[in-house]
Amino acid sequence: MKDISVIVFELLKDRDFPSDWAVVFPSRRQGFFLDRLLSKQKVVFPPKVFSLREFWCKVLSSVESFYFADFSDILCDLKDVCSSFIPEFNDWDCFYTWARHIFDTMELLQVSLVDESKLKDVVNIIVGSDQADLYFKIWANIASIMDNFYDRIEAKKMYTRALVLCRLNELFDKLRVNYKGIVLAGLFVESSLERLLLQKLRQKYNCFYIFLDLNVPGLRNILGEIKTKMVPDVSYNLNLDFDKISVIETASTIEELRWTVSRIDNSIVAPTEVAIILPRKALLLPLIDSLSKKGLPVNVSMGYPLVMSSVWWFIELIIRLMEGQKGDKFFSDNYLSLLAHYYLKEILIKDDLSAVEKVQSYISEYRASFLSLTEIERVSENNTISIVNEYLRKISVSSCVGDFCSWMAKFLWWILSVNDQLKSNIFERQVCYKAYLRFSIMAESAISKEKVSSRVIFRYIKDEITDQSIAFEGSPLEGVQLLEPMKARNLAFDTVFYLDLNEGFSPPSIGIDILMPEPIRKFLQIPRLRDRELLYCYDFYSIIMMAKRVFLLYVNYADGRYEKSRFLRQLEFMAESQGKHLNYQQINHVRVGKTKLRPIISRKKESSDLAKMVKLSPTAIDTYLFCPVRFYYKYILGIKEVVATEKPDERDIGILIHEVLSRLYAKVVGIPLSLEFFDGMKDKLKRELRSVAREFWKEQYNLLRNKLLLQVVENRLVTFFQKEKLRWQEDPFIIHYVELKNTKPFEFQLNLADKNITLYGRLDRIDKYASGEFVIWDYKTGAAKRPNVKKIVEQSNTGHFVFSRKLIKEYYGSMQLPIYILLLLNNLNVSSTQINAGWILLKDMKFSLLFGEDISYRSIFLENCKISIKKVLDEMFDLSFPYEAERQNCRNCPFRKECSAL
Amino acid sequence: MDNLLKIKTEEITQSGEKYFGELVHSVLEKYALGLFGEFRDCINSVLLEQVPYWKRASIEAKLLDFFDFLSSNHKFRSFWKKLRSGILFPELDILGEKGQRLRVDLLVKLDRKIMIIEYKTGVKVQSHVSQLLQYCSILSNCYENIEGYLFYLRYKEVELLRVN
Repeated sequence: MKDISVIVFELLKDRDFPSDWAVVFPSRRQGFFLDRLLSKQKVVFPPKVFSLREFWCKVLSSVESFYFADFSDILCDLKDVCSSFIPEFNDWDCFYTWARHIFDTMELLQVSLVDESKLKDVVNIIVGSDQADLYFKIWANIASIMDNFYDRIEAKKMYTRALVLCRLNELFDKLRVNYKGIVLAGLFVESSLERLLLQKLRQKYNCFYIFLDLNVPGLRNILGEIKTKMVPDVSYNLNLDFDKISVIETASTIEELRWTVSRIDNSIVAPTEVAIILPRKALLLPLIDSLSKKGLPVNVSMGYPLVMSSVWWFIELIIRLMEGQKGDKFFSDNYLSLLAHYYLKEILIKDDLSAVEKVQSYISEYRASFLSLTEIERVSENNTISIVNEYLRKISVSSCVGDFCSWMAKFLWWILSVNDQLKSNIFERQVCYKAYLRFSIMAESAISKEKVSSRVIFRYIKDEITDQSIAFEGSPLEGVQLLEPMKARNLAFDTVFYLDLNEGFSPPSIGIDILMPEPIRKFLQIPRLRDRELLYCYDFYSIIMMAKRVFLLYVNYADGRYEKSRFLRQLEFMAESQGKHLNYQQINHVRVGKTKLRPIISRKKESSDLAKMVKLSPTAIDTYLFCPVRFYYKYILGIKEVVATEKPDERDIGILIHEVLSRLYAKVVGIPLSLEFFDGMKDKLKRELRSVAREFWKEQYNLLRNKLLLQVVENRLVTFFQKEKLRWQEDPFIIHYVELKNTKPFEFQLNLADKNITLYGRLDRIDKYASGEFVIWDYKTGAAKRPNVKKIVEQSNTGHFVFSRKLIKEYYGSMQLPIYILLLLNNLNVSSTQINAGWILLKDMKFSLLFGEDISYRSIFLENCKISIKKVLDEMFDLSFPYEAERQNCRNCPFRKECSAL
Repeated sequence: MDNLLKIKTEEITQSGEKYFGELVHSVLEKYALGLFGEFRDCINSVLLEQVPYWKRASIEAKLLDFFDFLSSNHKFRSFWKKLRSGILFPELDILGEKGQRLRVDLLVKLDRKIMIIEYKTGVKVQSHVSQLLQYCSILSNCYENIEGYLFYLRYKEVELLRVN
């Protein structure tokens, strides 16, 4: 099978291997495979090889000098221009959130040759557009921002990719292309401008276009739209042979690697003819390690991202330390984690590791959760720690990007100079050096002098480091070829192992373009995001069609994550339609469980703060039940929970509904309700809602997002009152109590062995029925955890109920409603049979009661509840128990960073 | 892991030195191409292409100072004059035995010989010699009389080493 490198080679061979030709591949790495063929022919002077972007830059530089700017180079210019149209962008925090989206959108608009008059019409298709909304403002001003921005950077001769293409188009007739021939091999071109340039290039110069067509249903026509739209000079039409394909199902990534390596070991094929396709770079190092242990050399045609290396963990530890700073003090666990990092640990081992032990003993003796650097230096009496602290001090007081990055660079340089292990470990040294170089560049970047918040500094660093990777040197003449799918496009290998054929990796998740979603793309006739998926699809089929033997591996994850790739499903479908079956193989499953240690913190730590606790809310008890470590961070250390950002809309909706209901019902407390009350509610709630919303959102009231939310709240409230009316008609009630601002919480005294605890709670609303029953209602934004009343009563009756925290948690889920009942019982002179409690679920406006109509078991349940609370509190205040983390729902825990630092 | 991985190892130098060395190479490339008659014009072009505008002033002074020294250095001038008598191929790609692409700083075709020049702005290390010998060995497939030179260009110091 002739692959793209062979076709280019033959083209050059016919012309006696001219060195004054240029070959343009999708990636320069593909040129390696051409070089392999050329070197076999003893060619010394090869043609120039470029990626398409490099080629355009090279051609343009023949007529004018320019600086190819990346995103960070143009940030300040973009901010100046944007803020002159949108004043909110004077604030770095606000601007930086949008900056990358605006830049990417402008670049895309430029290369897509979108008519400027059409841009102004985009605001008309944004649903519910609101002039105060930033989204609206950006689109309303995008044409002016683009004009000003590109004029400004062009005057400074700073060209972005789009500007390079625009200038090429303008100067096309003046270009001095010195290559005698140009080969365009296996290229896809998504943008109209680039397509136009390629067509012009082909008309004017000696160009050859090579394209390999794939006979895959559905792929051909769509690809025709996004490829160069040029008729190829050389083209192949490939078909698929299902017999050469084996699909391997594994249980874990480790198995995937192990099986692949074992097959290569046993195979009789030369290693150079074997390619392993890795959609995910995380597998790269383990794979190299495994192959090398078998004595198999490798040629790596991909970079290893810095964010997966030890240096990124080091940077994250520093950022985490800075984020957890309280005044001049740092969270001691974060500080110790930093010292335990390989970079510093090796230096401390060489110097004096007992210094760290001194700090650890001090922390545990004085229960010091937060420590100042001066305190650490005094305790440790160690020179290395003093030097480390000096760097941390400088980093922590940096108020601009330049200072922060400059001190980070100096810190890394110091580590490079004194860490002996780094001197002898080439890979780790290069990783650290690469980060040092990047920080040095960032220290002098365009935004280095800007005074920005630490949030912007950290985001900027993350964005910058994410783009960095470690390059591998190699020769395609040696070893097993490790490639990414795009770099293997149109290349033929004897045997291909295609790993990670799971959704999310093959194809990778494409994400969402916030400023340019599909409807806007459709309106502006810009390629859709889905087209990118087609390119992955093309790469997949081109690789498997060209190989002689193909092993497709995927992981059948036990928890159902990352299901089997759609590529595999399509293959199955195609095979079936031809009356064939894919050869499936399931290898022995050895499931490896997670072995992460659960953090355990001694309760003697901060015991005085624990002793001071005399009042507890149901939420505190629930937090302890849910995870004692979370309780420790929140209630003992007093670290503020960052509000979960997952569902901010639901949070706002909940607050508004809660407040509106309180205000509306407060007016009728103790007054019998009537049909008129419910019938006239629609207008009343509308007025009340507007008034509450204005107080809540203040100047942001008019934002598009908030107006939409307001509509949602109104709809839900209308539904609520319809249901409420029906409930009232069935069984009339009066509003007995409504919680308002400044109302005192209900309290209940509980006597433990050594101390007395006051439980307190704020009850949203209490209704009183004609039967004399009181019902406590709690408005809930999220889901409610319901106690298993039936099981608790059953086990209480038989005496089998075990009062351990874990079982209490399992049976109760949440103690909130039972505690509310106890609070009300303490305040009203009624029996337990006369009280019920329930939730009003604000998301779907459902009413749910704790107890059913049978009142006989309520007292048994509440008795059990009292004992359970006492048991939980006994454990909470018992210093011999440690705070032990529950590994449940850690992903959404606000303290996951602090916890994993332990 | 070291013996397993062939990562692109860079000499560990302070970032400023590395950056300056790369710029010197680019200026010399432009000078050899004959696009500009004077170093000053080459420097301006390199600054425009490779250095963002907010960093240009400080680097420009350093580069001008460096090339002023080179222009006035007798050893540099006489060697460059000799090179100018041939055909110059700066930043030339060649293929190694294993198909790896290598880049020669400057190849000069003279009447009876070929000169290969590698510029170095850092300290002398043994690997410089082996690198140049590798280039000579590859080019010996095409040419007979090859001379390899390491041209150490440092501030206030020029040193020319014949390697083979």
